[in-house]
Order: sequence, then C-alpha cells, then structure tokens
Amino acid sequence: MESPDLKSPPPDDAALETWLRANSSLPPLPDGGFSRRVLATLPRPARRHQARRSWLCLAGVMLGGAIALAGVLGSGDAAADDLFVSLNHPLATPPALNALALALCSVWYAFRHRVRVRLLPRW
Amino acid sequence: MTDPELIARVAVSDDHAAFGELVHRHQSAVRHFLRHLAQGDAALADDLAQETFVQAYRGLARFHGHSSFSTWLLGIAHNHWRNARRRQRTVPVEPEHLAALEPTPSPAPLSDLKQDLAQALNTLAADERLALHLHYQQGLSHPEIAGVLDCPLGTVKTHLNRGKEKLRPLLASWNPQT
Repeated sequence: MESPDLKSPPPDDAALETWLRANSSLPPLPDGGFSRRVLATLPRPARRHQARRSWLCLAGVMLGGAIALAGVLGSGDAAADDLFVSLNHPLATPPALNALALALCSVWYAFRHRVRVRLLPRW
Repeated sequence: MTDPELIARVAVSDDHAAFGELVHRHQSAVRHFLRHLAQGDAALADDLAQETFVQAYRGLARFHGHSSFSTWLLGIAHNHWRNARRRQRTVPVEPEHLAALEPTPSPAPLSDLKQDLAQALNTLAADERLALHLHYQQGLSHPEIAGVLDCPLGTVKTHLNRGKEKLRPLLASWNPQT
C-alpha cells in the first residue's frame, strides 16, 4: 500500500513539478537514416507469404494423402482386388478423388490472393 | 494517418512503408530512452533501438491497443536493455557520459541550467532517474511508467517522489519557489 504522503505531495511540489516539466524537455533526435536501417533489416513480406503458402500446400497434400490412405486401407481384405485396381487407376476411387480435391483446395487457398491479383484484372 | 491506422496496414498487408512511418514517428522517443539507459552510449542505444523496432514488427499481432504504441515500444526497449545488460554483465560507464543528462548529436554545449539539472539528476539512484526521465522527459503518466518498467504503480510514485525530494535542494537556485 502507498503511504499517505505519496498521495498528498507537499505544497511546493507543484512548483517543482512545473519547473521540471518546463526544463526537462528533450529535443527530438533527427532520424539520420535510422528508419531506413530498420526497414532494411525487416523480413521481406513476400518471403513470409511464401513460407505460409508452402506450409498450407504441404498440410493440404499431407491431409489429402492421409485421407486417401485411410480410404484404401479401410476397404478391408474383401477389397484387395479393388486396391490393386485403385493403385493402377488412382483417380477412379472416391478416396483418391477426395484427396485430390482437398489438395487442389489447399493450393487454391494458399495462392488465392496471387490468383486474384493476377487474373481478375484481365477478366 | 494515425498510429492505429498504420498498425492495421502493417498487420493486414505487411506494409513496410506504413511501418517505416511508425519508426520515423517513434524513433526519437525510443532512442532517447535507450540512450538514457545506456548512459550516453549512442551506438549501443541505437543497436538496441533497431532490435526493438524489428521485434515490434514481428510481434505487432500481440499489440492490442491497451496502451499507446509508444508506451508499448518503450516496454520492448526496456526488455531489450535488460537482456543486453544480462548478456554483457557490465555496461561500460564512462565518466564523461555521466556529465550529460541526455547527450544529443548536436555539438552545442549544454546550457548552465541543463548542466545543473544533469548534474543534479546524476546524484539520484538509477531507478529514480529513470522514473523522472520517463515522466518529465518522455511525458508518460504514472501507470504508463509502471507498464514500461513492469513494476507496481506505488513503486513508480515512490521513485518519483524520492527523486524530486533529492532534486529540490539541488535546484533551489534555479527555482526560487522551491
């Protein structure tokens, strides 16, 4: 807890307060290229977006692969022949289609800003 | 454009120009503060100020506007200073650095009044000097100082009052009212 004397300063405190405020001001420091040096050390925006895009694509493809694998393995022994068929014609099976759709969606989501900027003005 | 508008532009679209404007606006306060902490070592202070702004850029998403942007920056700067001091263990303090309150790039000598004020401030404890710097030279309120220094409000008030009590007799010749 604060002591009472801190809340009620002595009578001449206001004069000292005013004097300190008037005489303690600092002149602003000239920039002198400081801002430019700071900006030069910042990470490039494009690189940050690129890294985010890479992670999104990777996550989407991995998730798609996991779904496809789960679909194939989940079909059981009775579908062993189907598994052989699905490996020969992977796009013909529903899990593979789901995986492909998910991967495409993740790629679209990752690059949607770039696609919008590049393509929309032409439309 | 206001600080919150510039911050929004940086947060949404990584606008370097907007961040450059924020740096330009607040560099003086941050560098003054770090020069005060570094007791005049301008090179060290500017290095720490640069790190402060880079960290602020990276952590801008954590700024929720509960305090002013400059207060938030000063808090980061203070943390950087503490970390640097911890790394270096000892910070070289040259006697000539203590002679001036706030060394500026200007080669002009300090006025007699400023000189006396600087000498008077140098007699104070570091915490008292820091609290006075933030309050009178940076214009921060008591709660803002407590936020920057990460200490209780009562401690800030104690430092300020003790500092002023010590300054009063030393500056009596400049201020007849005291």
